[in-house]
Amino acid sequence: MSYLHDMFNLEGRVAAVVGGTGALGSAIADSLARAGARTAMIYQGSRQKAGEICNELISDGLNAGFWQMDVRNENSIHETVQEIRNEWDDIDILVNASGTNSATPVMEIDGEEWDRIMEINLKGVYWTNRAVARNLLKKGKKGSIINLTSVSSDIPLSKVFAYGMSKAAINNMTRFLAREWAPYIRVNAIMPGFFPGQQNREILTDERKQLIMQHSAIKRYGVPDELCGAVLWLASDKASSFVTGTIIPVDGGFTAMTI
Amino acid sequence: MSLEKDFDVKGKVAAITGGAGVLCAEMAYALGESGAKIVLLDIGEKGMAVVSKELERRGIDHLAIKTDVMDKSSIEEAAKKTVEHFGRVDILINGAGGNKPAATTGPDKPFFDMPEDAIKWVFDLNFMGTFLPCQVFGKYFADQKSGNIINISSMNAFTPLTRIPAYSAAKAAVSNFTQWLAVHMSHHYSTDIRVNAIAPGFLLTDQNRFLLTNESDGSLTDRGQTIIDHTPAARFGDPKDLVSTIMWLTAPASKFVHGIVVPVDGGFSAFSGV
Repeated sequence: MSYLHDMFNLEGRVAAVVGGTGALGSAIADSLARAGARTAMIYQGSRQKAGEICNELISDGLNAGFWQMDVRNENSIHETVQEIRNEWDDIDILVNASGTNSATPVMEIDGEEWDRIMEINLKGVYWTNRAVARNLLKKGKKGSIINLTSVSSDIPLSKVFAYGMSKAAINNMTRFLAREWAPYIRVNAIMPGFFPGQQNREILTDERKQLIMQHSAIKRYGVPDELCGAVLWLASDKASSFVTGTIIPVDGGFTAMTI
Repeated sequence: MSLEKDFDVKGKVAAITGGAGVLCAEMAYALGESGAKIVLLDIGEKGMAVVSKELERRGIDHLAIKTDVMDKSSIEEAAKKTVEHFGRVDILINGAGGNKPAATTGPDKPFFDMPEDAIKWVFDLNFMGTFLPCQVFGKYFADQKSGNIINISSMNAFTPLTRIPAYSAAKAAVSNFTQWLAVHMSHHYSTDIRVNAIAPGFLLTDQNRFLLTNESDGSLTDRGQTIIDHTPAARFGDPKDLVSTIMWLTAPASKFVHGIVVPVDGGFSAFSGV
């Protein structure tokens, strides 16, 4: 296994997963820690869950910690990034897996809801990208940022109007920052297909489930672990050193088909 | 998720067309070092002998079969030999492809005079040379209800580059076909047959080194400089840059990744140039 280890192992790296207690974020944090990175789980409200996941990793002999952060507050982001640096070192792998969804009809979204979605899904992700990149760029250090986008970010899905718009902006931002911060920091996005998480559980009616299955080549939902291969590949400077500004679908063939 | 389990390709049999080329040889070494058995398929026996020798030096179990990817019977023969020797085949990498000067435009080569046979040749090599091996090896995958196909597209499939209309269009066809085949295999044969593609950006190889760098001092030519100016990573790719993407796409770690085209291009396709 030495060849694989050489390509993909993350020993000596500091990884942070924003939304680290979510269905997808916790699987991602687990895989980064198991690949050898010191892994910070960043949560907003679920302190107990963050602690439990973290303790499990530590009891397996891995390096993990948990920090509270509010992505809607730039000071909170700076403080958290600073605390992780004081405790460990600069974050050089950042995964943005937090987010909020909404299926409010187009005619009924009010200003408050619009702002909430854009603040959490877009502005907070931008601020976090920037806070982590600033330290690395100052020192000329390498890093890898992975933003989670959505299959609704390109050809829209019905119902999730504002959510899809926020994720479309994430794609554009990812490409912009890839050029802006090259050759030091690689910025890519993973585009998950349908992975039942907290964000979309309420939207998945029987009718919608049926439509999803009809339009998915692999004919099933993804499971959180299935995102982790793409994360490890993009996180490792050795494995994906020439990959930046890409949007990688992990969607069981959803975007490859129409009718 | 663990590296050892989810990136494991031990015992898998990987057939690689264009296996004597610089890029595909690196893929063969990487998969071989990770425990896969390698089948080199190439029309150039001399080149294949060099790669074969290196595989042998590394103790990698392999086979080299002279194959013309534009001739279905030649591919059928190669697939038969592969299965006779190794008992099965699990992975097909369609690495064969290329361009030729007659199929490019230039100051003294106007678009209006491009010879039909040169355009057809480029389409045959890049598109049919991918389509036919997918048909032949895909049949084995359909019968055993599992398999993994990786096509090699190009970043000029997203947006064409100047001068090479046939190559760009043929690679766009490879990307489109990759998505089609992914869905077709899932719907009709098995959801355990995956089909994806890689779209490499500008990689420095022996074939293009003379176009991109000056022989005398290794400095960049004008075209080389233009490419670097449009590549956020500000360098050419190296054959090794493709290898880990292959390792991810061939392994269980990517089992929900299907019908996609992965750019490995230093950010070239993410940047407008302005």
